Amino acid sequence: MNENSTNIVLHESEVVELFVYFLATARVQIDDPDYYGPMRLLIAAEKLRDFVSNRSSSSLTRLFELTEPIINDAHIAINDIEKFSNKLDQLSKVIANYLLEVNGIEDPSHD
Amino acid sequence: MTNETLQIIKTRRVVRMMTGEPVARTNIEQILEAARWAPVGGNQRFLRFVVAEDPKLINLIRMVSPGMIQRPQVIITICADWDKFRKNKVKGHDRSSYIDVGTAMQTMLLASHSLELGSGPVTSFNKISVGIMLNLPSHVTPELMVCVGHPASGYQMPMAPKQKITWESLVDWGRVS
Ligand SMILES: Cc1cc2nc3c(=O)[nH]c(=O)nc-3n(C[C@H](O)[C@H](O)[C@H](O)COP(=O)(O)O)c2cc1C
Repeated sequence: MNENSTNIVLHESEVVELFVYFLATARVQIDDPDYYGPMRLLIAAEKLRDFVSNRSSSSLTRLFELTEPIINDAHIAINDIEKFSNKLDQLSKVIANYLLEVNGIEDPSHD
Repeated sequence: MTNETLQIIKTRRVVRMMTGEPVARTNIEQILEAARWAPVGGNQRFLRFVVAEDPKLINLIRMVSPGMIQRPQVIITICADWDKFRKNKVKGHDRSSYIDVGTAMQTMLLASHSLELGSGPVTSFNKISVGIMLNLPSHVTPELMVCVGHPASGYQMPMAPKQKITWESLVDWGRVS
């Protein structure tokens, strides 16, 4: 089994917390400002990260480490849509490069 | 001499990081008594205050409240009793009710701050789930939660840290130019 397909088990209470967060927040977002939506998703991602970070592989730990400071910056920029989008763009690049790398696909721009 | 009331108004900020130290019951009662003296439309009493102190219940409420960043020791939920509205045949009741929620909220935030407690309002919560958790009858709706606790030292996670707003920038004198 390669490192990326290792089972990381969530505690049932963690599953409940995350599952309920998604469902409860879906309703809350109908009334809340639209731009809170991305922030809620970031918070859900952080919850998931915090649940598993002490038992994740070195590769997953690196993904968490790469994204954590950018997520923190995004939270601070929530009311500055340009800066906030910029942080989400940065996250999008980081995750794409991470996925290519762990799946052994070379980035042609680096040739 | 400094004006203590103005000082309290100016120095109150939303507290989103709280310690695990319990809040004394007498303090909670003082905050609730302050809310009783908040101005209300038509001097009618349409609001109910539901206090959650049980850590288990608080935790459940947090799970359905994405806007609750803090881990409070106490949650005071300001609720509107729509039966009372109907009985008193108040017109345009929605608006006046929400203003009442606001005056109660701010009075409790200021009372908390004056008692050296931290507090923060939350409206980003699932109103249906919280209504069930607090066992509210169907004619009573949760409108806003005031979280109370002892403030943690350090960063308090403001929503927009770098804003510089002066009161002058918000005001027009006489007719709007
Ligand atoms: C009606 C209302 C609803 C609010 N809802 C939330 C909320 O769900 N979560 C939160 O963290 N802050 C909430 N706030 C707090 C505001 O974000 C805060 O008052 C504002 O950013 C100004 O910060 P200050 O009060 O510390 O000066 C709310 C404030 C009001 C008046």
